[in-house]
Amino acid sequence: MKINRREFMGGALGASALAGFPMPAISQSAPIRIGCITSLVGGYSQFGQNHVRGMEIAAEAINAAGGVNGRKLEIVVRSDDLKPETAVAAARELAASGVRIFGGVNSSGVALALSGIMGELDSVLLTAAAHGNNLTHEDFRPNYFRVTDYSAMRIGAGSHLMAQRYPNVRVWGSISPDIQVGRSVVEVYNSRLPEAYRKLHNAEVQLKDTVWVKFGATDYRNEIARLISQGIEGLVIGVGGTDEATFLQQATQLGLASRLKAMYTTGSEFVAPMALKNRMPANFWSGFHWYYGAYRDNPIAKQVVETFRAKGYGQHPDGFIGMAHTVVLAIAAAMKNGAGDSSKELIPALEGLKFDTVKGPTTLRKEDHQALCDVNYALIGPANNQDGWEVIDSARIDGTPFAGDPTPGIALKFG
Amino acid sequence: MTMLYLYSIFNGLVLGMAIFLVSAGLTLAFGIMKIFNFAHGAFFMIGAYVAYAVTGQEASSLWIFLAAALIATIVVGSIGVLADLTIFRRLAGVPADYTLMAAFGIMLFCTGSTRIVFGQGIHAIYPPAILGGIADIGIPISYYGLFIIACGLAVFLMLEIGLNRTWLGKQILAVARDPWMADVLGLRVRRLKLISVATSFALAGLAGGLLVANQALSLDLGHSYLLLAFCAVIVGGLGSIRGAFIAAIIFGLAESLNSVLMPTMPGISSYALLIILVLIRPHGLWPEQSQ
Repeated sequence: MKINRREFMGGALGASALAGFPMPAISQSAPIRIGCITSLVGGYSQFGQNHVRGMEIAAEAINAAGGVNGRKLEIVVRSDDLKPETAVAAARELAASGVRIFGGVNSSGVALALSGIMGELDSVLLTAAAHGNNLTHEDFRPNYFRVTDYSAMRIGAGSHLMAQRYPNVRVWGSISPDIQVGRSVVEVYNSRLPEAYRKLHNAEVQLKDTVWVKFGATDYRNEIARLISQGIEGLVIGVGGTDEATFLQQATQLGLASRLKAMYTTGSEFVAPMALKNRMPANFWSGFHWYYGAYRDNPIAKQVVETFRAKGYGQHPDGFIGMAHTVVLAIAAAMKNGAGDSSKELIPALEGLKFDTVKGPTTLRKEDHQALCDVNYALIGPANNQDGWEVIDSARIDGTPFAGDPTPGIALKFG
Repeated sequence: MTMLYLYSIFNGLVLGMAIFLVSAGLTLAFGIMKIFNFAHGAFFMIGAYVAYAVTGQEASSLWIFLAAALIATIVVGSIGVLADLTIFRRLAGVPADYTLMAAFGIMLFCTGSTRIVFGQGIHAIYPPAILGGIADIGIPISYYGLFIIACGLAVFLMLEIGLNRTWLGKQILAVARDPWMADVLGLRVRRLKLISVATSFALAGLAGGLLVANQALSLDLGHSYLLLAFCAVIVGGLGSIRGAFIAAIIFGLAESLNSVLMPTMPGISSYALLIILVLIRPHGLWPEQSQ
């Protein structure tokens, strides 16, 4: 009897299926591929690079310990160029090659675009940075989780910290970019700062008009003059990244920084001190996704810091490292609890998940998939050392009271 | 309030001159190559990084600062010569779309190379001590701001005199206006084009070296000025140095006064102005004869 190739293939596949040939076993031992979509070009690329590093550090540690249920983790990296359309294209491309779990993401706009297609791709997205209030509120998507704090928590906790540390600073100003995350920051600050002073000191604070700036501006001198003319004593800074460095550079030159008794930011982490070095202003509190110095007692944090330094990445791992690491830990914890890597299994396993991270125990709230975790701030000033700056003080604030009620599908309300 | 307006006008002039410093090379390149050089912002950024490599966070003296800007000019000008010999000249006979794509490719290459050499960090660079002060004459006038205005004026005058009053400049203008006729008349068209391209790139390097202390230095630096520089080149008249100079001042003042007059809508005036001016004068405020 002559058998052609087509008949042979059909027969072989049929026989394999009947015999329970180890085809499912192949997928069970195959690595769990996690797509890291983040910004690897442009002014935010250093954060994106640290997303990659953080996820890789976590994957390497888990793989060295035997993987997740015997399966290794593999991080597949794509750049979103900080553009939603590029991110969506990257996610579709990775999904076509079998990737069902995504992490990373810097921008809230990119997170919003990606969360919108996760259901269609039967995938799950866990972001490590995007800060917009909307992502876990009015724009909530079931296939989206955020493992770090967000604007409401960060600025809420920061406002509380300011009221605690600077009880006599009563005239506050704000500068923020005219984009969604900037509006979120000001909305929270307008509500939470007066609330904190009332609660802690039974005192009223005066909030001056917000100074709105163009995203990506190179000149803040007029805005600085306006802030000086407002006679403020404290300032919340909503501009981030390169813009924050430019603003602080010009604010120190024009004497605004020296007039202020307190400043706090949404969080460019070490960007400002690394840029300004010994020209850093005093009383500058930088917000962090994770400030490693506040967790010297945490074994996971300790391991991340040691690996980061051993790999020669530098001396100061930032929160982008820490939160990207947390993304991988969340996935591993959910899968260790028995979930597969499909979104149908992973989403219920992630909902309400409590797991240990670089910031200690973190819970992914069941209702809106928002992480309930610490909020970190560090007081950074100039120093006569190799860096030119040093962390003078730091704060670990429980973010839960500032996270607000879970209202998936409904915008967060303030005041 | 009057003081705030005066201060805003001063800052607008500083920003205008900064825009002109970037757009001068851009409009010169357009005049010769007849393309928008998308890589111009990247070369401006390289100029700033080169200057930073020479001075560090703060130049020890004005001379070191100026020397760094000169080195940035030479380095970026040399890259321009290389780019012309290896890329732009080869694309001379093909449709402009290809040259545009090549410029885009060069931009990506330059950004990637700068990232490899200098890393992704953000740096705050300061002017030398002599330019770091502020004169308080009712409004705080920074010496560095005055320096930028002076540099902008000097570059404008040099280009104006260089192009219109010197033999070499007139030859360059002849090539820009009619390369075929210039060739027939015996001018060394290729060499003149090479000089023009190198000059336009060198101007990008000079702008980077002079403006490095104006804002934080990062891989995004080119983008932050390029948009306004393009606006100045379009509104001024493609290829026109005078037009770019006037338009740069207009956009600088508009950007600056925007923050005082319409503080809740930052940056909107430039775009509104671009639309209005292009509608009113589609050929530019000071159209170049060759266009």
